[in-house]
Amino acid sequence: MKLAFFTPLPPLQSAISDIGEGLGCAFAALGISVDYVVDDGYQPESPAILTPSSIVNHRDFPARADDYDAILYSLGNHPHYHGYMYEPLLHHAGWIMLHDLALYPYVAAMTLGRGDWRGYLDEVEYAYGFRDMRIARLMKTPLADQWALAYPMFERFVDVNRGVMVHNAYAAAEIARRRKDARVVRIPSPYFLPPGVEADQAQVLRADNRAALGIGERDLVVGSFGILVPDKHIETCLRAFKRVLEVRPDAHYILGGSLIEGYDLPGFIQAEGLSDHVHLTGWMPPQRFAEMMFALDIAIHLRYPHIGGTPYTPVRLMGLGVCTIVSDIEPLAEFPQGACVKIPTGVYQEDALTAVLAHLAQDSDFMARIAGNGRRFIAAYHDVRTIAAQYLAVMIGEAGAGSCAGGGC
Amino acid sequence: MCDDLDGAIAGAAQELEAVLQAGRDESARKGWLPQGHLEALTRMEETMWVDTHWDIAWPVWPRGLGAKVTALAQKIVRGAISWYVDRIIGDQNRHNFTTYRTVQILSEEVRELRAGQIRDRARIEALSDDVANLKRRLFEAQEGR
Repeated sequence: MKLAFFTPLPPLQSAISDIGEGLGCAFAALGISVDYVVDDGYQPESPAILTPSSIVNHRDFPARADDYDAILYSLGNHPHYHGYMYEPLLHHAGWIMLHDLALYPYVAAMTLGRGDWRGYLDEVEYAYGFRDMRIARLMKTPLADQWALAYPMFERFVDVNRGVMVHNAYAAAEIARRRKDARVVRIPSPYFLPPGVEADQAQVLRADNRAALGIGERDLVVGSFGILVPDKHIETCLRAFKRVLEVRPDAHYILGGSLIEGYDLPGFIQAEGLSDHVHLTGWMPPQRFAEMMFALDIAIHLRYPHIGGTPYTPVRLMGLGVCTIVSDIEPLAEFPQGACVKIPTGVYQEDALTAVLAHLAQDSDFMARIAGNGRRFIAAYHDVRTIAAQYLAVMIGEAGAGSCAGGGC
Repeated sequence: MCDDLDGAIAGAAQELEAVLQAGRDESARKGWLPQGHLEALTRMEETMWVDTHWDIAWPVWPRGLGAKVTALAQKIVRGAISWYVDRIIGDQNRHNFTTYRTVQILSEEVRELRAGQIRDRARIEALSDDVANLKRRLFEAQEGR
């Protein structure tokens, strides 16, 4: 089988580029010939999967499209990373691995962002039947994320492609609800480690990464990883952590990832008097990013509001055996309470997080139980080899019972 | 899911529910409403009222002739369009007040429900103790017979 795989790849700073690399490795292990169709302006750095002949510039793709047995688009809503696949998505039918439901920012950037007002209105009319700027106005309000789910703008992509693969049942149901004839398949997020990470050296990685930040072997280490945005409620996490310091003064908090522009988290850390306990790493390449996770005892990955996608970072944290706290949101419904810790969103979030964090900090056996459950759960359902085989089965028409159409998910 | 993993997850979930309940009780103990809720209500109160009159060159005029002329022009424009703006702001303030009042009523309702929930839980625990005592006495009576 020859596969054209549209995906961003490292060194682009996106979880989707990491997933592209991980799945690429697994496809290769299954004997699939994969061509990575990539954007201009960067050179992919994935020696484990790439040979010069396996990289295809997207401008060369149309002439070669008929050479492939299947096309797979790994689609998120960031126009910078996925903009180059906009035209192929509309003209070369393939399978879409949809990471987020809310594609409005993507479609708007590819139309309005290029001064194409008529194209924008065409897309809005196609999806929702009206031809005006009301969605653009709603997207400027504080509730933009909620409106983005009300007007996800995936309709045309779903209609013109062969089918959509999503990571959670909520996303599958949302697509099936809006597009009755769509072929929608749920395939869990793949768990893998970037090439070069020695998982069997966990204790060494734990000790080394802690030592690099001046953290002791027996100190309690909490962390949040990924791009640090306000929707991840880092201030709430740090306020709860501050309460934990009363019972565990040896605790540290690692913020592993880059800050978005204009987000003054360092100012907040200083104002709360947490500078001696909080470590901001900044952006790290995929291998370093994954290795730093070995330093953690507890990870917190809150996300609300969400845009329909399954957050990837908790999958990796749980797979590594880190006790992981997440928001109790629809896209994480398949992750059972007890394999991770799910806390309510909204006004109860901070008190619930504080109670859970304090409990875990004082009961290391319980923390280890949750961590162990999470690791086993991910191993059972998210192993990248199994997931890659599921993708291939769908693409070569052997989807089996996992697929659904017409709202049956 | 294999049975032992199922069991391990269910056991941990049960313990977590107790911890989360303790968190909710802590919220209740602090004044029946969690901190985030109180803050949101306070913010809503603070921002509910929108004023059409934005101060221009008051209480003192700015220095310099140019700045004074600009401020005067702004005052004239403000006065000239007030018949239009005031009406919109009036509608907005009525809407804001209605929304605030609705949220306030719902908060009081939630507070009542939470208080009732805690009372009910205490009552259930007391009744459970009573049932256990009765069972024990029944067993003892049957054994004595």
